[in-house]
Amino acid sequence: MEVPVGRPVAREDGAARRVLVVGCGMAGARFVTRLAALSPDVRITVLDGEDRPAYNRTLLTGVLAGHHRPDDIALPLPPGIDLRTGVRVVAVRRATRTVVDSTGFEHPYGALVLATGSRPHHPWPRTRPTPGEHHLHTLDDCRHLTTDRADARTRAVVVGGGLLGVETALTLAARTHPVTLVHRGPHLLHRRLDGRAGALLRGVLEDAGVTVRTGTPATAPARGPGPSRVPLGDGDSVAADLVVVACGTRPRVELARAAGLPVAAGVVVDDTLASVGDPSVYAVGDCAEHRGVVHDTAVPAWQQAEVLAARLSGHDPHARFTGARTLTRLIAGDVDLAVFGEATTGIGTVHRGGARTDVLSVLDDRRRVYKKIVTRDDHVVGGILLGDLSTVDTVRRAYESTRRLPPDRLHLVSALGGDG
Amino acid sequence: MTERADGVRTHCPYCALQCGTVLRPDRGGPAPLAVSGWPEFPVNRGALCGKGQHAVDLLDPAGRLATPLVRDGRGTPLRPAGWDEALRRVVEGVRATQTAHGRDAVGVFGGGGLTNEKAYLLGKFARVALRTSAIDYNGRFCMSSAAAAVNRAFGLDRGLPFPLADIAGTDCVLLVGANPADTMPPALRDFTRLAERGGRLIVVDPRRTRTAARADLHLRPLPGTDLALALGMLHIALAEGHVDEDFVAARTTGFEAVRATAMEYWPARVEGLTGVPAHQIRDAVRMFAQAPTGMVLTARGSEQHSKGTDTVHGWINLCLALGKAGRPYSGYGCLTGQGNGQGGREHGQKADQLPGYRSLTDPEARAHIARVWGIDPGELPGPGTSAYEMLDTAGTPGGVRALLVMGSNPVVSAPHAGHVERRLRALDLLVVADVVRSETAELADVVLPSAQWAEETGTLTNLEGRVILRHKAVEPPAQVRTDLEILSALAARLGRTEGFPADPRLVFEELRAASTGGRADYAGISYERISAEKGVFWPCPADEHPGTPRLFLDSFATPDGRARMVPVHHRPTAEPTDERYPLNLVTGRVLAHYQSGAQTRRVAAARAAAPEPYVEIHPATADRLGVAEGEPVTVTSRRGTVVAPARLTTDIRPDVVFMPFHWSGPGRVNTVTNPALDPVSRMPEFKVCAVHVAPVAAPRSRPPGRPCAATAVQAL
Repeated sequence: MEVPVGRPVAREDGAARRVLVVGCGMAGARFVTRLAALSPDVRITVLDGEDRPAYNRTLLTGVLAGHHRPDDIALPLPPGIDLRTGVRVVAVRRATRTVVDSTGFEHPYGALVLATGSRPHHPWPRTRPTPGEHHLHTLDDCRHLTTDRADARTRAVVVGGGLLGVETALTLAARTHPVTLVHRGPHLLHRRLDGRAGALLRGVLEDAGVTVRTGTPATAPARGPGPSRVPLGDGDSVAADLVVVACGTRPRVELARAAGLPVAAGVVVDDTLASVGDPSVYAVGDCAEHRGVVHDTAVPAWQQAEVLAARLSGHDPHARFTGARTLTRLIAGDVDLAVFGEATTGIGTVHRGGARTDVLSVLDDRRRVYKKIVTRDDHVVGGILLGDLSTVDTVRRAYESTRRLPPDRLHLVSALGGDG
Repeated sequence: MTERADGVRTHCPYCALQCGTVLRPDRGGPAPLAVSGWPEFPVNRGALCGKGQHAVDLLDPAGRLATPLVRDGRGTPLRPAGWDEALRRVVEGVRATQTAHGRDAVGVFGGGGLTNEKAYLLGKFARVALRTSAIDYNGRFCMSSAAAAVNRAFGLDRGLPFPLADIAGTDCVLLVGANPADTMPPALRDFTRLAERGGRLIVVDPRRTRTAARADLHLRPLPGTDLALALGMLHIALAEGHVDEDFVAARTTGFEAVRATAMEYWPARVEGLTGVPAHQIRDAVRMFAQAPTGMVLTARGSEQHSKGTDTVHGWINLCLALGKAGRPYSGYGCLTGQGNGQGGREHGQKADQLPGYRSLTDPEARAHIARVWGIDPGELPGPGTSAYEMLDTAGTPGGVRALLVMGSNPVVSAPHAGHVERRLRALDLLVVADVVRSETAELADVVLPSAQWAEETGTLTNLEGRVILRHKAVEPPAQVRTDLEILSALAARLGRTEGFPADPRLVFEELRAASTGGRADYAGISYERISAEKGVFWPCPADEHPGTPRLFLDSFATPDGRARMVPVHHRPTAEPTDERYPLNLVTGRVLAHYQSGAQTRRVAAARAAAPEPYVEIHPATADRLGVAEGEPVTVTSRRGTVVAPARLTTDIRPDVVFMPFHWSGPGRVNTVTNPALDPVSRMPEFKVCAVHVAPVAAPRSRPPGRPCAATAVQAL
């Protein structure tokens, strides 16, 4: 009988029986849950700076939209772990394999897992908090934002036209706010989308009641009593009772850097998710950089958490994270968008590094549908699906596959082409 | 010949619908009887599928066993024998085995096609005459995952909690891993009436089957991801406010834990796991949730997995959260497969059960059954191992050394069938009672020829929980005995001259008494009532009780009357695809054939309609593999290789291939299927394994119409 069950194997490191996890967000909570399930006898300590950690950050806009209650998005944690909330880690002492927390307590570890996540990037200097100014990065952010937007006539300005900004603007607009989305780039999601997709997306947002201002940065709202105005780089300004800053995130790497671990954009890890500078320190999720990529979404973070749990439990000491070719999805209201890989490559950019690059695209003005597949040497390397996701599974499989595409690729953009 | 002027009203020998049929003498025809639909029987209302129309062909003596067969030694052929010799061989073998290896070294393997009376007597035979714990049946391969989940969730396992005809009266059916257009065609009438009334049909299937082609919405998940889909649907239902909070509060327990699990299945993640575009999942949720009434019906496609029980819980949770259960025209149901798949699991041929759907570990149940059987409760063995585990260890130390197979053909129908075949060959004694010389009978030391459907009387319980009565319409051939006669004779030779009547009516009367007070209570059901009422729905605890066509309308059968919502999580298949085995194989049935094909492959019309197995492949996949339409291909898993011609179709996902499972020999798909078991139900993962497909090394063309060697019907 070939039921795959956990092989009773030797732990790769006896000291790994004591696992210390810093951060209990998407990656940390998943890791802890899987590790405890696979290896109930391992001692797990979790430190997190938030008072109520372990919730599903992916669903924050769902909470804002009223689709979920804040309590509903809690992530499960196993019983029997030593969870310390509201506790920051101030230092990692690798020489003694200990971690010092903000209460002065020193925690020994056999394996240290950094799951410190990311923090929101702020586009202007913040000397002190401005009333009505928000992020949407934590559940607390979400609560404050929900409280502040209690009035349906609240004028909201969303700064940043990335994924989170677009999703937030749509969510607020669905709640009948006058919403303005300000984005410094030439078009929405300009790092991910090409101009055509950006323009179409803009149209969808405008139809949903969002005023879109692109090509201009926003700066700090003027402080003072009463409603403020958000000044724009083009000299204009937008009245705002509520400002949501959604200008991307940056990995939280200060701790790792101070501990002398190799850090680029994130904590540099190998396929075992161990730091390349210390085999007893691991990093998963938004704070980790693997093969030059910081995966900042939940699905790869969970894959990493599961790989690491399989390794540290001894369940599968050979488990490796070899990267994730994920599609970034925006599913909100009438917006259905997938974007992945090198999607901004323009038509006519046929050679890159000696390899043949081709672009297949379909634009349907009437249905506001745009599909674009970028291939290099007959492999899908990026693409955009906007407005019609009927071929998303076919495209995902092609993107994940190492096989060459057939010459006829219409199946990637049309279900009528037969889904190869 | 039992003749009535207007014919004998009875039932089809095949699937769980148990369509009503009328048999009339047909002295001029090829068979002694002619069959037609029984217009007044509510399940099929006169309709019959092709299998049913040709059922009388099975009565033709040419295709079946005429006398007992015995083998004089390993390597010698089976030869005809008299009953006395055959039965003596069985009893001597049983005694020798039990003396040498203990009572549990003799096993019994039953079937979901046996009548209630046979299933009951077979279980009693094992526990009383053989006193072995080793009994299970092929329903373990069929119904066990749904049964386990339904028992836990509702406290009572009946395939459908409502009559089949209620399908036409609901507003939305979510049909998962089921293809009734090919497996139970007469049931399509109810789906047609559903559509005519404006009801919607959502089909979940990796293939665009003939059923899926009729759907308002067809979701095509990757095989083995139905549970993620169910959880993803619940997530969206929660997010969009479709949950029926009042129903959940009043009629269920466990919702909070289920809600917490569903939160982990947000649309983008579920799309990645299942391959179903998020907007389609959302459309399905809205279509189902917004319908005033709705049903989820699953079949083997969703259940035959190493997580089949959890998957059924996922669908039940969805029904309960949306208030679509325990109300008229709403509920979760399982489309049972075999003719007596329902009754077969109620009367004690399951490893862990006693008649009346009682638990073998419940002291009260043991005491009750022991009283009915006139034995001491301490004489009753405990639970035995499940079907695959019994086959897997057969002929090994600690496993069964002698096996009686009745009404099953595991050489074709068990997973990892090549291994199972080797295990059966290693037995000290294999006894097979069957109508035909099946592939399993070919391996036997003793073959006992059985009577069949129209030659004996007995009850079955169809997928609705309706107990129906098949009537004897014709005498069996001279040297053929009924299974009850066989059990009765064997029991007598083993020293049990009392308690094993061969008369089905006497057995049924005892079954009624044994089931009294059990979950499947037949106490008020009699042959007369079944005939007068066109079937009686259990539970029917007393003569004056009307039977129970619809369950759970007032309360569920749990101790507190509430349905239990059970938190479950998706997990990968037991054998994910990889570079060596990059495709998922799914298996299923074709219109013309039934189960292992032991019967239908002997029917000329069925052979003509579907002469051989095939491998359904998407043209793009075929193109990449260098496979051409009609050319033989090999399908290889970690367990073996099968060969069958390719059939190219865009109706299948490009990452999936399909094979029907009705054939033996080189085209026997169960050679490659995975016996990974569900931890709760012990159901093998028939429905998905990782395979590699390649054209047969030396491509050859074959004349059209001539079956290739790989698929020729075995000589009879």
